[in-house]
Amino acid sequence: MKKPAFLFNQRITVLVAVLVILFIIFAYGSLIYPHSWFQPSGGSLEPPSVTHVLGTDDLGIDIFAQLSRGFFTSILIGLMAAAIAFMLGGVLGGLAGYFKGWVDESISFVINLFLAIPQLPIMIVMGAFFGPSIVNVVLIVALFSWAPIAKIVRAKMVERIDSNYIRLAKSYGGGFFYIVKTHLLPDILPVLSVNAIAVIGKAIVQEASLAFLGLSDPLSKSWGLMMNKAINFKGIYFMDAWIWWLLPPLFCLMGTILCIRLISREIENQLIND
Amino acid sequence: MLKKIILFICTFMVIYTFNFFIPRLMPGDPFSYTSSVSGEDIDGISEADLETMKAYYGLDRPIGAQFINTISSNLNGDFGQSIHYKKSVIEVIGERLPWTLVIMISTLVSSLLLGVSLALVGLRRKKMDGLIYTTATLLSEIPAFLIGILLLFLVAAQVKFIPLSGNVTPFKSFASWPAYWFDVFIHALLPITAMVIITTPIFYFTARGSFLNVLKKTYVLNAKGKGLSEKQIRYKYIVLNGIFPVITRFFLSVGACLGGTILIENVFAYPGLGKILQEGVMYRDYVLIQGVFLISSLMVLTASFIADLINEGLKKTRGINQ
Repeated sequence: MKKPAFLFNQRITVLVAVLVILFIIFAYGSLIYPHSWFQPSGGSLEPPSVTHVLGTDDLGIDIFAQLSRGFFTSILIGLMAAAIAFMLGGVLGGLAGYFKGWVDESISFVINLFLAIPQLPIMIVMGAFFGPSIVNVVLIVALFSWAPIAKIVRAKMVERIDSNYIRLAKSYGGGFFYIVKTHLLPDILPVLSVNAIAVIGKAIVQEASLAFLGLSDPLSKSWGLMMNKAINFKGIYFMDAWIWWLLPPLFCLMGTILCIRLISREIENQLIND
Repeated sequence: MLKKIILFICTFMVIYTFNFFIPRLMPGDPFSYTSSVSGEDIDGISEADLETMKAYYGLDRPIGAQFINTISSNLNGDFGQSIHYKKSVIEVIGERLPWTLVIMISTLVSSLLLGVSLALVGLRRKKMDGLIYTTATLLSEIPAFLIGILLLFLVAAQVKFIPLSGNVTPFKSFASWPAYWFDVFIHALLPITAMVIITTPIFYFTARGSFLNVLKKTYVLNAKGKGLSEKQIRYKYIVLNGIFPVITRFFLSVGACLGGTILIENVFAYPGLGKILQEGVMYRDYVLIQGVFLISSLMVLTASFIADLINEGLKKTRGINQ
């Protein structure tokens, strides 16, 4: 079997390598690094030193430990939201494309409805309603990420469903699951996966946005929450603390999002070229 | 077209219904907030007082009656009293909406102009185009509020004459209108800059794709054959024919722009809709959240509807031409 071409793409290799390096650094920070991510381990707002690699925050909690914890929170939220969006988008988009008529009409209607609703305001309202917890953030993000995926999957299905080989398979008596599994899934899966990867990045951004507005779990450490605390600290503009308190989560967030989004973009280009 | 209108109305109705029901299911109670100082819960409030207040705000009636009542008063332009600000919601939104619009409209207009100009530059110089394309790709993935925070600390905190937050200098009386407008401008400068940095790529990509499409058309070849100058071709043929997708994109971007503005306003403490939305959630001000959410949804929905109309109209004129 021929290996997919994107495994040989240099840019993707570099991007994945960056993510792996980040993973290793933050795994060190979570597992081996001596300081706790929720308990004070030094003085208030200590600058970076040998004991505290990135200094401490206002409560004396180590920044690097928080940062490491935040990485896994972000990635976990991204993965879970993407997994749900992947399932919902794949199933609903697939159903709409396979069965035409009223099934397609009604699912397409719901898709368009979700695409039309402005996302952040409704996420803020729902975040406030469900209460700030990780599970709720995941569910809210997933709820507003599946529609674009479903739309793409549906379009792809509609494009394929009328081709002769599907008609032939149907006329030989191939059932829904058989046809989807053998003839449609191999085409749909790459598109679906690329979009799911893109959702990971989007989910991380949205979680950070909600956390920045104070709508994420206040007990879990996330990068958005760290920035929220730093920026709302009185007098932060008049001291140097923002350099080690605010900038690390900000740049980590930017870097992680960029890596994930660019990976999905590169794979997509690769798929188009193939 | 009928489908689009139905979708527009249905979406609005779904949002409206959702908007009515969800705040009522939120945990917490606004009354225990209003009767305390700086948002701390107190339990000094008696049951009887609570009942009186609930009756006063109509929150003791069955949910169906509340819903019908809400619709009828909304139709009369009454969106209730804000529990936190103790003013009518329309008044609060009326004060804040213009500031959000200042940011959104300046962002969208300057991003459109900048994006189209960058695309035009890219058409002439292939090397520049590659550079712009890569930069735009990177920037388009970064959320605006992160850039806002960077600008806040790297620019506003370092440069004296750029303020850190707010929309106008408080308690200052201005000698003339230009002085006032300058103050407004300098306050809005950084929020708008942050927004423009991430919105420009959207317009650049749309314009670039559309212009490259027009370039392939035979009438451009014909124009070249006639001996028209590069400049004439660029402005009369490429820009005029390729601008419509960009204009559609302008209206489609309102939603994303609103999301960005809500966050940016919270970075720069800019007193627009985003700030009161966040405050409304913090103080559990149901009525205010409802109003803000409704207004912002209506704005975004109408904008996408206009985009649909333009697309539809375009299809028709193209159909006649063919």
